[in-house]
Amino acid sequence: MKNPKSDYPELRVKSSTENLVRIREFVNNSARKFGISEEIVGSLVLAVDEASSNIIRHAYKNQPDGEITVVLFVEDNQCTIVLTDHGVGFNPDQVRTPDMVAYLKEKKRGGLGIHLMKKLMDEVDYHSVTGEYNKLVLRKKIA
Amino acid sequence: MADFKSGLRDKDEFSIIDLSGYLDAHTAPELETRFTNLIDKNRFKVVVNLKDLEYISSAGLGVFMAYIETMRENQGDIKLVSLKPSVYSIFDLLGFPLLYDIMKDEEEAINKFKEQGK
Repeated sequence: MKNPKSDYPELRVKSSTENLVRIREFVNNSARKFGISEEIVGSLVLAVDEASSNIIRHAYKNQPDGEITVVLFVEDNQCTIVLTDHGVGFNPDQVRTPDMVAYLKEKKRGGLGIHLMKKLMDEVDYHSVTGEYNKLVLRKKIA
Repeated sequence: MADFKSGLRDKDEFSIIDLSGYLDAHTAPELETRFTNLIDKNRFKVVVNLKDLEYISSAGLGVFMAYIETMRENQGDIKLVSLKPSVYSIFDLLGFPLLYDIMKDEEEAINKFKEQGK
C-alpha cells in the first residue's frame, strides 16, 4: 500500500546553520500552498528554525555532515511538521522555562529557542530511539 | 546565503548598530563580534536600530541577552529602536519589553540615555 504521507512536501538538508535559510523557505512555501495565514506561517517558520538550530547544536554538536528531514502536512485544520535527525537525543521537556531576569544577570542565553517553540506551537512532541533517530513533532491549529 | 548586515556608526559617545535582513543562528556570530569589539573599545552606550531587520530567532535575541549586563555594569545600556511589528512580537513573546528599553527611534533612545544620566 502506498504511504499517503509520501506525497507530503519534504526537505532533506545537512546539519549546517547555513541551511537555516533553505529550511525557512521550505516551511514558508509549503505552508502557503495549504492556504495558511501569514501570521501562522510566521510562527511555523520560526518554530522550525528554532527546532533545526537545536538539532544542529545539540543533536549534531555543530558537525555539518548530519541530516535533517522536515515534512509538513495539514489534516483536520491542523498543521503538523515533523523534524527527524540521527544525532544525539535531546528532549525539549527537560529544558526548564527560563527566568529572564536571572538569565540577564548570569549573562546566559541558552534554552530560549525551546521556550519560544513551545509558545509558538499548540503541541510539541518528542520521540527518540537511541542510536537510530529523534523525531520532533510540532502541531498548530490553522483555523 | 543568509542575507544579514550589521553596520556601526558613532554619534558622540553613543554607538549605533544598524541591522538588516535575517538574524538567525548562522548570522548571530557577526552581531556578537560587533558587541565584543565595542566592549574592547570601552563603548557601552549602544543603540541598535532594527528598522531593516526582517527576521530574528532566539540566537539573535541571545546576543542581546549575553551583552546587556556588561553594558549596564559599565554605566551603559543596549536600547532597541524602530522594530517592525513582526520582529517586536518575538521580543514580546519572551518578555523583553520588561527588561530592555524598546523605543520608537534613535533620538528617543539617546534622550533616554541622557535622562538617565548616562
